[in-house]
Amino acid sequence: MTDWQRLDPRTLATQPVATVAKAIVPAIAAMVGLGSAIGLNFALLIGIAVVVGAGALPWWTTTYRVTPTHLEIRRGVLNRTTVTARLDRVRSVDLEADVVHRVLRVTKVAVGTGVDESRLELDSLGVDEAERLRVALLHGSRPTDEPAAPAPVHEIARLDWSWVRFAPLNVGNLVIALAAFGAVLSQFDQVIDEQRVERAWHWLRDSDVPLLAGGVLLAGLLLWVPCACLGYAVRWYGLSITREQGKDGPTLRRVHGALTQRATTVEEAKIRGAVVRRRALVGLAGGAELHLLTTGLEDNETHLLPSAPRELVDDVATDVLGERAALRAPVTAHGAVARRRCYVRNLRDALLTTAGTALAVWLARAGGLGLAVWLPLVVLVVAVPVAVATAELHYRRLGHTLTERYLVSCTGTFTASRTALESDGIVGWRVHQSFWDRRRGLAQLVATTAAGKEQVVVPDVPLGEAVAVAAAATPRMVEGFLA
Amino acid sequence: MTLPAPSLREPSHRVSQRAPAYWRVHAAVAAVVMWLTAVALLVTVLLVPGGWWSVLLWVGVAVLAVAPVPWLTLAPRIRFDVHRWEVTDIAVHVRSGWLSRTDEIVPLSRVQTVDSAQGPLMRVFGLRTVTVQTASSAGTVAIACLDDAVAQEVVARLVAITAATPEDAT
Repeated sequence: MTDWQRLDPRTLATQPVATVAKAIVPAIAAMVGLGSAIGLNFALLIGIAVVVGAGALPWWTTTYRVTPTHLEIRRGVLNRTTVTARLDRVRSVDLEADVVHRVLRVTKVAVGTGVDESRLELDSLGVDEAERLRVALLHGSRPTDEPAAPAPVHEIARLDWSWVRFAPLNVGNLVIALAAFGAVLSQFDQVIDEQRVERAWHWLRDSDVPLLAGGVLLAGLLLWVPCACLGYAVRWYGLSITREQGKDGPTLRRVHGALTQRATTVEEAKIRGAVVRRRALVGLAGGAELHLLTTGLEDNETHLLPSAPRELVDDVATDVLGERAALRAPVTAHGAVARRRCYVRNLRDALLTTAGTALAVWLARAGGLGLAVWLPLVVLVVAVPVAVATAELHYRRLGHTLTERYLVSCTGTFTASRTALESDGIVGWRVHQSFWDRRRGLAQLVATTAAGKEQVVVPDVPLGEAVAVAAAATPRMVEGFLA
Repeated sequence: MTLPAPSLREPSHRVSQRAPAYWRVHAAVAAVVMWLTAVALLVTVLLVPGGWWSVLLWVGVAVLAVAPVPWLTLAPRIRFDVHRWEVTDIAVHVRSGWLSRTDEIVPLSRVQTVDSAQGPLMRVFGLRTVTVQTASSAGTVAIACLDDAVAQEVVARLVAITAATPEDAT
């Protein structure tokens, strides 16, 4: 196929809708402004013409073709630009379709070439055409008019509706939801004047506070649980993770989404490790989520699985990483000194908080504000047990180990994370000791990598152990520098 | 029986003999700014009638006056003793810090770019810093304050070795 192809004609419909959705507020403002000057009907006509024109422009100016060696995309009328990507450099082909796209059965195609942030995008192609292009780019077969030969597909995981039970336990999402709620509420700050606040305050003082708090909590819970479940269901509807045979080895493909549907493909050769996170309440309920550490994608920490039962998450991760030990092997604790470090750090924070409260109370009283003298004492009584408990928890979650192929680091206080990074994916080491670390013989071991967040930290590990781990994980790199 | 824990040996080369002098001048510039600020604070505290905050100002003056002293006296000497580097055929090893210690090792097969840089003050002292970058933004290693000639030599050597190892750098 060497002919230049256009985008799907249905793009003419999707683009204006996207443009309008993005620019609805300024568009209306401009229309009203223009309308008062030249008459509303005329302004409306101009508005429609602009929107339709903006939609037609990409369709009119963009063409693409697949040659035996390259994918070429040509854009522009006066300023013609041609973007090309070598087919053997194509690392990922992602499809994304929002509601409008899905109604019209078209989809966006984004082609990644393994270099960060340079993606070739086609917005949009028909669903069948996009699938043909995807297969052609990833599996090397030239796109033809008959449907591609079905590649052997092996399903690794599929959404089970029982997983929705974890959604309300994800308190992090609650914080995000509350922040959004607060942002919406702040739009009404003109309505809330001092009088109302005062009246509310009086009403609050006269009412039964525990009963009221219980009621608010219950109402919040009743509102939060269905919202969280709905959010989870909409985002992860139809999740399926499959393995296909790409032209240079197997690829993982993840499809999900009820409204906006996304299909992401990752070459398995680009996977350098995984992170299993057990968030506070989700973890207590036996759930976990899975992220992949990859290189050369736009987002190098692919969220592969949402909150799901831990057994299943570990099974999927084992399948992807090819090693059970990376997920389940017991980890080495960092020892008494590291534990002491955890306690000292937390107790110091507790004492600083107390001191801060004491200072605030003192300043307030000096300024004539009657804050209770015993307030710092209350803070101390609460903060110290919390500090001790979290220190112990933090220490128990700290650990590392080295399996046959992976460096494993476990960290976290409330959220327990287990990061497995392939030893082959380590592109350097840093052993850092602060002044206090040196006095205690601890070190912060950092394995740098191109994948994920670009580094994996093994914190507060005894110095000798840090060096031993580095030497064992990458003997060739470190051996020459050992004493 | 457990084996004795391994440790990293000192990399073989020191940085330039002129590095401590450069560090001292560098610190002196910062020190002058801090002392001028301290003088300004002192004038303020003496001229303006005192309040509860004058204690804080005195503390500020003391801190600003004393803080630069270690960087002018002790730090350059200690850093010169600590800072070491070594380039083998396989990897670069750099040690740095004065209160802290940082050991960085980067295998040459994963090096993506080799840079060298020289600020105006470094030029006066004939110093140059060689920076080695990998595919990880967290994995950039700098060999600071080498003699200009040595730095050029190191760059040439690193480029030659990395060009000869055609491994995928990620």
